[in-house]
Amino acid sequence: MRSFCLLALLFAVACGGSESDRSVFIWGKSGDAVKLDPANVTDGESVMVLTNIFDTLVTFEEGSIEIIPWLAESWEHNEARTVWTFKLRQGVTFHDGTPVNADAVVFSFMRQKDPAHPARRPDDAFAYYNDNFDALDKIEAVDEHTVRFTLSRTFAPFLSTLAMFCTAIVAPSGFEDGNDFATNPIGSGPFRFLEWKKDEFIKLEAFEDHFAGRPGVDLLIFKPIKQPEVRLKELESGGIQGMDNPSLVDVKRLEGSTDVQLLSAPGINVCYLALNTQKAPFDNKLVRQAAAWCIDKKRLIEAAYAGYGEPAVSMCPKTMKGHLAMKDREPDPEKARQLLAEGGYPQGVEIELWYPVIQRAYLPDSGATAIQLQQALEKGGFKVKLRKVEWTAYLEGTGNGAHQACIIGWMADIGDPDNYLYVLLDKENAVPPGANNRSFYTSEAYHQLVSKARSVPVWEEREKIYHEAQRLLFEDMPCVPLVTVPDFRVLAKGVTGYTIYPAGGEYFRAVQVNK
Amino acid sequence: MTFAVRRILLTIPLLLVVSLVVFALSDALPGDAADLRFEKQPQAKEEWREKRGLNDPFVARWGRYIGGVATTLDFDDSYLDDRPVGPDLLEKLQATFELTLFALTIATFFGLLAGILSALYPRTPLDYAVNVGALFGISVPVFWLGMMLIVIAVNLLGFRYSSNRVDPVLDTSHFVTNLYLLESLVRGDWNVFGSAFRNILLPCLALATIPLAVITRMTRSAMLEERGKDYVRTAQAKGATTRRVVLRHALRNAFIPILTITGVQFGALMGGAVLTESVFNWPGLGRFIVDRGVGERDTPVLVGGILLVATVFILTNLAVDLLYGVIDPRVRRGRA
Repeated sequence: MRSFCLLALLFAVACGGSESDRSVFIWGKSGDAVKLDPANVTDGESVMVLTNIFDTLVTFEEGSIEIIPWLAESWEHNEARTVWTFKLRQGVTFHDGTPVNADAVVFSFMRQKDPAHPARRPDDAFAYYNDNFDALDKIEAVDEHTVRFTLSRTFAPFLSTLAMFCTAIVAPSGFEDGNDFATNPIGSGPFRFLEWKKDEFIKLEAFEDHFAGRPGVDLLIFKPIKQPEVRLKELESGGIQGMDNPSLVDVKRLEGSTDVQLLSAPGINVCYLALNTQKAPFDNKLVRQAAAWCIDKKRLIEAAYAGYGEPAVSMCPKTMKGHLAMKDREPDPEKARQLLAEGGYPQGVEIELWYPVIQRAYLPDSGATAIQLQQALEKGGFKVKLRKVEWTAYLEGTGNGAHQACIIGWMADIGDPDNYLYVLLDKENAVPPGANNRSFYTSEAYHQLVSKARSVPVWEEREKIYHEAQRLLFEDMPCVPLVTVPDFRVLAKGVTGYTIYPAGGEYFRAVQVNK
Repeated sequence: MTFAVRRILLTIPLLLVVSLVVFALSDALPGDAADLRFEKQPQAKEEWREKRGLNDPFVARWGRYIGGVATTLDFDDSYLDDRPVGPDLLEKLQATFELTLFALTIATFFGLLAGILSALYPRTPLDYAVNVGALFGISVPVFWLGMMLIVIAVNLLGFRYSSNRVDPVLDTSHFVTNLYLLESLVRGDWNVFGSAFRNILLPCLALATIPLAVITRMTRSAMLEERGKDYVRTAQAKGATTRRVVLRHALRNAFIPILTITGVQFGALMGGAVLTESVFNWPGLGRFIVDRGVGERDTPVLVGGILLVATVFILTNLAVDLLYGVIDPRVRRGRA
């Protein structure tokens, strides 16, 4: 009997709970952050935390990929767009009170550029910087609030790349006295870092002195909850106030729900079928076109994306600037057989299709996608053997060109078509190991187009070139664009001020929780 | 006394052998986290391996590792970022320990209760119900049960479910250990205790099902066996109450197999709670080993994690063996 009394007491304690008068917003995410050093991360889970701790020189307009001034008030550049001068906002401080000045900006870039920089750590990789800033020649502080960047050549997407997380301005003071910046970051963003308990939570606190005003909540907590179903249950029961990546089945159920808010926005991503142009039979353009004629994208979306998604026609997604609207091929297996015969395979041809063991936003159910593609291709005369590969080995194998065909996708890091058309298909990126051009498409004509587009400063001219490049891709078909998937978020009732940012990262400064 | 000392001394060579096997096996595995980390820089990788002493002979590495673990609990540094993995491992071990301890307490209490009752009233509806329940407990997969528990708690009972261990809004940064329940109890911090208790309930119910069923069945069969024995009849004949006969006489003799199975379950849960930990997002050791050690091939996490689980297993068995002696003096005096 005594033990029952004890149990009852415990229960009373458990159900009591505590009411704190601070407003709290807890965000449920699929995984924990890896590091909290913005220059040293490559994964979305870390980035969505960092975008709240740090500021960049320029940033994205709310819910768009347009660039607006942020830490930099204004800027100017020469006609060739190789010399950029940024005027910094005055009176801005980091969380520890040190000033955000030109020296801090130079520091943030130089520690990535200069291998002999005193702030270098042994495990620094700076992957994003190395991929994007090879044209950056010099960065200097002109005066306390003016910074000048000098590029070795015109690099059209430059301004967009300055909104990317890896260029966040870090506090030089955070690298002194043996502070481990990757676990105790100091920035100037709307939230200040408090505590990180690995695999449990990351706790941030409102930064009262942020130049854009105090954020809407007192505490911002990130909580990794791996299973999307569990994440949703916790949201429904009030344990968290917002979450990303609900399972698509749950999205169906939540539509029209009055208990929670379901948000969606067209994603900037594309899932595609990469055809290895260096290997038979896809070294033949007609065979690649035949594959494109087979695939019924609408049906694929119904079967493998629970109906959520839009057929992709171009490798530059509809939501990205520079996209060219084209009329897609209507699925026609007969036409495919005919092209296959013309290409030298009247009896059809056997191929191996690789697909990964992983869930990505653009690939919620890789197995179902693979089976759909297999069925579609077999109707058009291909004999398809499926090969399922674990994710790391998959990236390695396809990056080395071991596959004939593979299913893969891409999500934007920056708001520029270069991020798709150059990164995924230019011959400069078809070099193993770790090639991003998994079609190993080496067309010289295409290379001329996308390289030119990188160095032309005027957007209207660049757009024309990108349109031409997309037409060329549609004809050459080094890869078949399949689908663009919308982004989904679920918020608790009473949460306001949240917007989905299409280029990735989460920005919670305007979020408010009304009880 | 000599029994206890001998038994304790025996664990040391046992631990050494376990560590040797784990170390050798992980050494034989092809590929590790460093392959990815230094994907395009074979030279940097070679320098790193040299610096970390990974090119030394096997015995030297093993000796160094054992020395580090035994003297300073240094479980080597991660292959991903060269940070020590020891603190993480020990933190997760505590999280799993708390969950396991709590689950096993529930399982033992209710398992004994159900087992004794069904042995007292064999072939009655009560007995059948316990049997069916135990069968259910053993066979239902925990990932399904876990999900169902959450759905029932949230949607039917209106329980404010929160995964993880304690409400992150509460300040726990000053806690010394990672045993939230015990430490908050000691500190008298009722907010943290309430939150930790509420959060541990569901995962521990899910985790308790299998040991509960196992203990129930073991208790039932052991009790049934004892009940038919002469000494029980003698006790009844001399007029002892049923309560006394069952608890003092029969149960004490039935306890050895029950204790054995409970000890084994404890060890198994420490490393095998992966599924429960995954469903309930519990930051425990099993999940850490699977995600980091196996998933990302971070060898020190794999080796250290398995070593810790094995150690707990061995220590539990040691404790069980010593308890035999307490319960049954014959074990203490035996030849062995």
